[in-house]
Amino acid sequence: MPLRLTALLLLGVLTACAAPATQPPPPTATVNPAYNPTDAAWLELMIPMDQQFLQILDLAPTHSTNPAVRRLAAQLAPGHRTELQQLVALRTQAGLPTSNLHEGHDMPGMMTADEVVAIGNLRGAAFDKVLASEIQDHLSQSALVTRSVKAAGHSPALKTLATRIEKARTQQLVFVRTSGVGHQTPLS
Amino acid sequence: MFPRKKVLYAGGAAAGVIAALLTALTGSSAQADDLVTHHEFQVNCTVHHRATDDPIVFPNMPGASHEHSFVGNTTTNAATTLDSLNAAGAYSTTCLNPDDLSAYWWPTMFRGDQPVIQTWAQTIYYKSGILDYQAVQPFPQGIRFVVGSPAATEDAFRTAPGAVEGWECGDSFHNWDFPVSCPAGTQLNIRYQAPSCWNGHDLDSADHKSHMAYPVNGVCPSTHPVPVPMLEFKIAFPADGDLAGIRLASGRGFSWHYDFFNAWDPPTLAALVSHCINGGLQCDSRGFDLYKPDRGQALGDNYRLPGRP
Repeated sequence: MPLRLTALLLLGVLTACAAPATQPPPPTATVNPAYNPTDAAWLELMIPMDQQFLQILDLAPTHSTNPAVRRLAAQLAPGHRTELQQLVALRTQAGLPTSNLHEGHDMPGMMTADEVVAIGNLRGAAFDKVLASEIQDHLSQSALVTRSVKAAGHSPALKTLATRIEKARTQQLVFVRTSGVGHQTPLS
Repeated sequence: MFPRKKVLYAGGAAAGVIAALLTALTGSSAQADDLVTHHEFQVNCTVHHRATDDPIVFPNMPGASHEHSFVGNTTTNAATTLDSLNAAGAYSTTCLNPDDLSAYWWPTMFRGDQPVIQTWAQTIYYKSGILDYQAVQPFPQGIRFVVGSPAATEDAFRTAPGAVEGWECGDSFHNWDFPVSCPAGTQLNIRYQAPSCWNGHDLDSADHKSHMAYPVNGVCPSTHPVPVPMLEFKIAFPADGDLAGIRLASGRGFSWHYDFFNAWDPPTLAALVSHCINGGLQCDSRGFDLYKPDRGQALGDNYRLPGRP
């Protein structure tokens, strides 16, 4: 390669590298205008809810000795994993930060950090009882906020997912009712 | 951050001295009680309801927040807007002023799983955050913002421009998380100051904060040139004895924060700001300064503008 061309290319690279420094820093976060504040609130809540729920469900094979409980957890987990991926994809599209706004808070439908530690130390029937209560809380609370975003949200893609999740919740609550788990430990 | 606050306080004292000097120089009308020591009024409101709602951060999504204790407007919920606050109508508030339809809220405190119920009136000061207290203007209708952060670290909370003395009870001050214990019969108190400079056009912003800024050296910065009242929530919780089980719905003591959604009747707020803040008084909710009774009061004994029944 002739030296002059190399020099030109090098100059081009240098210029490209230098350019950003001369411009004002980009805004910290550009939220996609297709997503309204209710859309954002839903994504930023559903993601930590699902993450924590999967973390708890994943304890069932090692912490429960009840086949019905293990079966219920196995029924609920795959759908939630898929749903979580779809929620994260929308969060990226919306340009929202990935930090958990609710970190350390006592949230409806979620366990506190202390409660997550506590359930990890339970086995057998004691574990089943707390898990059954958490399953009920998670499903009903996430269905509630999902109905809200269907009413007050804006993004069509997001509302399509919300509609799918609301249907899934109805079906998942049927799983719970027919699993026998709810009969053994009354659910509030 | 600390040096800045010291300058601000020192400036406040200096302004008082200058006012006193001016009074002395002008001679004839000079009286001891012309010395300006305060520029504030307070509103007193009881907790009306608790809910996992936040109409500013999680609008139209009930159940999407940690639990808050709401004072002021009795209708506040996840769907609250300026119109809904105004539609509630005069007297639909737990504050003494029937025409203050604003919503105010903070995270509920818990002892273990039990909420620490606040049964008495809480104090929210409206002060001057700048040296030139005569320039403070009323809040625009519908302005709303979050003060402090539920995600703050202990260090961020300690060094925040809004920090005053942290959590305090009895003789224990400057606790940036909850103290280990409080003497029997004392309250656990927190005071925290809000930014008081507005950018002049946005009633809200994406992070619910950046349309507001703290003054710098007692002056509003050019990016946020409009001085509005500086809110200072003085909130007391009936928590004494061993505080090991005490937490906020948002976490540790340093997650303290609060929210404000302005829905004052504009002429009533204007009268209080003008008489008490611009006028350099220490007013109660009627706009009356106990120490300067000759200055009169902005509102009637019913806490309303003259002529309102």
